[in-house]
Amino acid sequence: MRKVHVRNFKIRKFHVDEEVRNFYNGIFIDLGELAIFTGKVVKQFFQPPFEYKELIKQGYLIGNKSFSLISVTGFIMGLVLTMQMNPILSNFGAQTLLPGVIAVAMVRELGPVIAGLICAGKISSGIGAEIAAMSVTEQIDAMEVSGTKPLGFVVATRVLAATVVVPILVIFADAFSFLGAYLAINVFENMSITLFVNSAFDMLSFKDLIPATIKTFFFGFFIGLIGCYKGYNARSGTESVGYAANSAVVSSSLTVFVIDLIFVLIINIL
Amino acid sequence: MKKQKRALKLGIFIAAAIILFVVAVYLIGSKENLFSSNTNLYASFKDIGGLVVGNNVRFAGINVGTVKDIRIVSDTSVTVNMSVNDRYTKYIYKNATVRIGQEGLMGGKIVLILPGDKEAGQVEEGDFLKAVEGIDIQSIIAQAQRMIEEVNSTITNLHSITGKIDNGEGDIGKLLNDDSLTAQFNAAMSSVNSSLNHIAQLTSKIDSGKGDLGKLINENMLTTKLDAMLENADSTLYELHQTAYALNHGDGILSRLVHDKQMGLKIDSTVAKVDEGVVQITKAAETIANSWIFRLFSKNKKKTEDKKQPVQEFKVHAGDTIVIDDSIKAHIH
Repeated sequence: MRKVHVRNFKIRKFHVDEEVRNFYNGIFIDLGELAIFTGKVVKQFFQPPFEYKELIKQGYLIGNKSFSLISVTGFIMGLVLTMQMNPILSNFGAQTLLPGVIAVAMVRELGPVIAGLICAGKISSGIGAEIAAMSVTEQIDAMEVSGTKPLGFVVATRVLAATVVVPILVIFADAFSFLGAYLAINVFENMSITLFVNSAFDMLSFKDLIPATIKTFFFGFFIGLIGCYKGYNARSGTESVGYAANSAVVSSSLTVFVIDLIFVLIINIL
Repeated sequence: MKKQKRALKLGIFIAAAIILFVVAVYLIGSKENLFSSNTNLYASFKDIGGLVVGNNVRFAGINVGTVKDIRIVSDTSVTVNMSVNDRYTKYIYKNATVRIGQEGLMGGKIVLILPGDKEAGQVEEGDFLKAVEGIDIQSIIAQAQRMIEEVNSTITNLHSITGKIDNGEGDIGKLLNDDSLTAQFNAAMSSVNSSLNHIAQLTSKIDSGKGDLGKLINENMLTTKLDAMLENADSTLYELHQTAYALNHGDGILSRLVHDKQMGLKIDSTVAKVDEGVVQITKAAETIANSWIFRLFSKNKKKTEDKKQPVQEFKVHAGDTIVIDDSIKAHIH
């Protein structure tokens, strides 16, 4: 009995070590493969044939189809943020600063990050599931056989579309958040739209707008790229489609925060 | 057709976003005077109190520009470059002054341009404006802190004073806490009251003309006498004046004695002659006295004088009292 117990214990310990090692190895392997995949995709941006029609289609599907979701989210964010900030600023008698505070908060941080997370949830999962399904049903292999470059046609177009469209969605999110903030302020007090716009843009500067806009291009690029990567590397079996979509959302959401952190650090240094 | 419709929708979507972005850039840029012609003005401060590039420049309550650049020139001088919109420069004159202000209690720093005189002329590119010391919130807080410390020390002193008073220390404390002082005060007041009664009686007597003081105050006899005395003194003084005048200016003997030198000389020579006469008379008298006839009479006279005053001798013993007559005191040496 004693010998069996000891042997079982040893086996169990070995099993735990293996899982941990596999987990960390998996992260670094994923990171390395993602880097290689990124290089291949970026290379496709500059290699003909350029798939304009597919790019427009993906831009429409990613952008226009996400517009309503992003605009509603932005509107609610502006509304809620104003209603939450109003009593705090009222304590200091600084309600007049409310449009400026909301504008800075939305343009610098909340607009890009919230829109990035929404896009990670909607776009990245959609792309991941779509390409994983294509991979599982061997459509990717079929493309390669037929002479169509799947990386150029499927991946590069989606990544490029996401890179272009996500900043546009962030602009709409900011604009709708301003609208929500304006309506929320008018719940508490009367403020003309001119005064609101002047107050909001009085506190904004290019230091707020430009880094935030540049940041959103990176958000879009990595949201598209991670979705494509997870889908492209999906294993056989239908369950891998769900796994790829889920993994794409988690990874791209985390990447949005990591990019945000890196940008804040860079801006503070500059 | 479906593809074209999709492209159109995407195009509108992108165009709307670009327009929104351009509007945002324009609004921010116009605030920072990027899309208007500007004039660069400068000012040197000792301390800019946290002013940063991009802060507003305000003139007459209007944001007329922004801080374009801040350069430290030396350890006591910081030059601030202000970019002022050309629309407003015609109202800013060369002798205008600038100071660092604060945009509300919680707001950032701003540069305030204070108006100058029209005679100095309009500012031009590169002009330096005179900087004046601004009101810094930190200095106000420091002053308030000093005031609070002083008030605190005053309150501590007051607390100490009131404590001493409450404990009956010092004169004020005794005044408030010690009843014996009141009793003493009452006694003093009663004595003062009786004194006042006496004074009242005294004054009533004076008023009724009783006693010398009453007469002095109520009757005018003394003043009448004084008037008469003064009149006499006045006439006496007049007489003296006339006499003195006569002595100085008249021809009488006294006047001549005082003023006439020749008369003085004559009197001197007369006195000298009289003196000489007296000497001769003395010599004549001695000659007479030494004559034998005169000696004859004088010896008899001396003998009678010696008989009249015999010398007496007394034996004095210890403890005797000697009484000397006043007529003899003059002959004792």
